[in-house]
Amino acid sequence: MASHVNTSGFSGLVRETPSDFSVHASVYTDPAIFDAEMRNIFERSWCYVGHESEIEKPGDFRTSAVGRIPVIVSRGDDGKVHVNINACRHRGTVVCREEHGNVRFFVCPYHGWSYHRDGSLNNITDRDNFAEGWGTDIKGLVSANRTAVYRGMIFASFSDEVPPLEQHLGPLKKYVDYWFDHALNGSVRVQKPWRATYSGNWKLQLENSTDGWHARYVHISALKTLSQFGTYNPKVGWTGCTRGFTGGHGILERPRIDIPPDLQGEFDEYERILEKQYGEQRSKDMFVRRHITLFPNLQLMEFKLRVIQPVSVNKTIVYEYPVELIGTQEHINKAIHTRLLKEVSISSGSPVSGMVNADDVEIFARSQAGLTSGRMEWVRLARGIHREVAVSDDELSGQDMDELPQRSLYREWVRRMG
Amino acid sequence: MTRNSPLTRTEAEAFLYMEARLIDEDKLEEWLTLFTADGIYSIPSEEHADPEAETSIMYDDANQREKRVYQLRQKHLAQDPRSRTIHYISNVEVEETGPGEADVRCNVMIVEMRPGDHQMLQPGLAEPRSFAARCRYRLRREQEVWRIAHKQVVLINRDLPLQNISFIL
Repeated sequence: MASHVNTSGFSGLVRETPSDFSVHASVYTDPAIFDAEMRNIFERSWCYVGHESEIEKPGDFRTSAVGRIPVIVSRGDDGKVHVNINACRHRGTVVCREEHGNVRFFVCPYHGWSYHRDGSLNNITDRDNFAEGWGTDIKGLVSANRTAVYRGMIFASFSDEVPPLEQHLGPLKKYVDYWFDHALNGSVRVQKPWRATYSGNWKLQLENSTDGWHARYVHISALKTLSQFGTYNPKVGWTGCTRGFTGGHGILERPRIDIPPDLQGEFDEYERILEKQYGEQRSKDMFVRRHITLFPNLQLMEFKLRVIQPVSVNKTIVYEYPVELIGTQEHINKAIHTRLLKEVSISSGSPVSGMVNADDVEIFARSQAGLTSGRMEWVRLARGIHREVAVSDDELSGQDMDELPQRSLYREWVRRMG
Repeated sequence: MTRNSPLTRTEAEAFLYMEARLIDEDKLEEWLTLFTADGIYSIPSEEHADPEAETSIMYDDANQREKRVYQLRQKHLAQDPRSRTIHYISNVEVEETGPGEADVRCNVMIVEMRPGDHQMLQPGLAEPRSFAARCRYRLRREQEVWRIAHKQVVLINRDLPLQNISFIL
């Protein structure tokens, strides 16, 4: 497909006036733009690469990616988290193909070069056959420029110019804390994920998770089914708000209206437990349903992490990791998991076979198909732009169905790509 | 066959073919009646995971199966157009059997396609896909009829990122 753009800058692809906001279709379909996104956004931002609970002991590792860069996230003998490019310093061969595990050394299968658990070089084989002093520049796998951990979430960057992680989160930090404080000791353990893929651009999922408007259309069959079977009350109105942040982050915030009746007792008890732990005001602020986007590749959903992995301009992988709340009573965790694992609420189920999420994935493929024509040029994201409220310099708020989080995403997109 | 004789392989095959036909012919309300009241239909994402505590592709009790069929009768976008399926069943073995219960293994190849995109624009539509799996059935005799107490479909790509599979396997 022909590129619509010159690659020196992409700022013209997002248009904003006080009453309108539009994004050019090529932003979803042009491979050249996708390449630039991987370099300018993913490699130069803070990307989520894993959670500390996945690598608790020295030698534990998981593989992951920063954009298209494959990485190994491991715990070294020093007890610290290390993020290294998953490519041998000899011929670039992928060193580790397992999703997770524990090793003494990472050994390249090609010529046997090996690396310590932190990625530093252990051994170059057949040293005697190299010129004197050769290879002293090779210290280990290429490591990420920066690695940082917040509330157990491991982030990596391939730029030295990223701000400190907490500064990157900015005012979003408060809401991230609310999310993690749902666990009584403040931390979570991530569980085995659901794994899904769809034929569409990565930003379609990113936009959708904080889109409060689509549910009454896309999820009509799921809502009808849940109400027919008595686990969702359609009479409860949807209220709440949206939030958008400098940095591209966003939030959809709604009351927790989709508690199935047979779990209501546990959720009420849980609310009282949180009130006792955090006081009335804070627990009230906390105990709402929030979908939180940490731009560019992580979303904190209802008791699960959603990780968005771009593959190509029209192919995306989504991982969803339910979490166990550490320190929270077992029967509360069980109720939360029942709600997630059984099809009883709008938070339930797998991204591909669940009653709710499967319909989103279908819409992404449909959007991608429509956008690929190239002649429907502008995607419109203007709902509620005339009533955005500045909470602070870095935070805006809007009504629950406004396309505000999506605008914040693209305002940041322009800053990074422009 | 006497009233309480163990399940033969021929009978097992006939049962599995009949189940497949009900799915492929979209007679899902009838398919629901094949299960025992406590019957489970499961598609694990990891074969030995605990489905009550960990993620599954599907893990349906009677209520959930009914919901799934109910949703398929609504305007369920992921199934609009609906998947057409053809089940091929092979390698049927009756592992253990008594007069009241039998464990049956088989392999299944399901070819699935969603029609309806006549401009061939949308990936995933008008493209046949195949799903290969090992299946395990626990059948139980109730009022002289064999029913499904557990159907487990172990896909070869169960632990990899999957495309939409919001149809009955």
